[in-house]
Amino acid sequence: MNLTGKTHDNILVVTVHDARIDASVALQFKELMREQTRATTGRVILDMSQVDFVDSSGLGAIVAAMKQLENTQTLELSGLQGAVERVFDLTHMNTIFTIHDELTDAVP
Amino acid sequence: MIDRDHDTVCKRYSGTESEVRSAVRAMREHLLHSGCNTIDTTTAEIVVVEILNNVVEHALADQPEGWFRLTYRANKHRLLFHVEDNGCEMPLGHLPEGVPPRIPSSRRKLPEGGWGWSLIRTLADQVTYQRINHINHVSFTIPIHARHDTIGKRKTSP
Repeated sequence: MNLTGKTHDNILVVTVHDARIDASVALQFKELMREQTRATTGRVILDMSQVDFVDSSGLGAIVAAMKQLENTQTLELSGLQGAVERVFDLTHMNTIFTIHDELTDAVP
Repeated sequence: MIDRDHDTVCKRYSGTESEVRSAVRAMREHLLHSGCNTIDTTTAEIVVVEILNNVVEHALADQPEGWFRLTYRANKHRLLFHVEDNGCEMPLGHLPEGVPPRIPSSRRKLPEGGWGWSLIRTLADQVTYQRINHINHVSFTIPIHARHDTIGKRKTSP
């Protein structure tokens, strides 16, 4: 599992460079997100445009990544597509996160 | 006219998360190759992943020689799936109802799982469970929305 982070004006964008966030990488994802977001204080945007599948374990890890942040911070998502978007809709987790169609909508 | 008996795909895997990935990848490629549309294939993928994750994480958790077998075929209107495993019996002998986790107002209390059976129950029909001779059998179907005559048919060289 490979995540990269880039900060623009106190906004951290974390990009997932894998096609799947599923049970086999859920724990690793959560730990990598902890490392990526450790030093941030502002908005965090998770760029999921390269992800084509999330299962319930992967979804749980994304929720866990949000809960790891400070109360004043938000975890926003961008680039949800196909199966990923459907899983967020079906579980109503689309109501919990701010979701941007594209990264350019999220970062000015 | 396709002989339906030859259209069935059936493969046994060892009971690990990486084998779940392999099984699902093969199924996805097969369904798409066989003419199943992306939406129906994705529906099948979501359901099969959740079923197999449950098998590997729960039924096979204490089974060193664990395996599961994934079998599927199509008729005109549905994809038909059958999953077997040699793990422990479903608690209480039946499948979970799949009540989705409650969404609390506090984000600190948000659930980090528990959606698996609710996704399965929402997307699949005719979900049944049987325990026969120490083997778990779960069957379910997924409605299909496109022509699907060739599922299971091997591509032959010209």
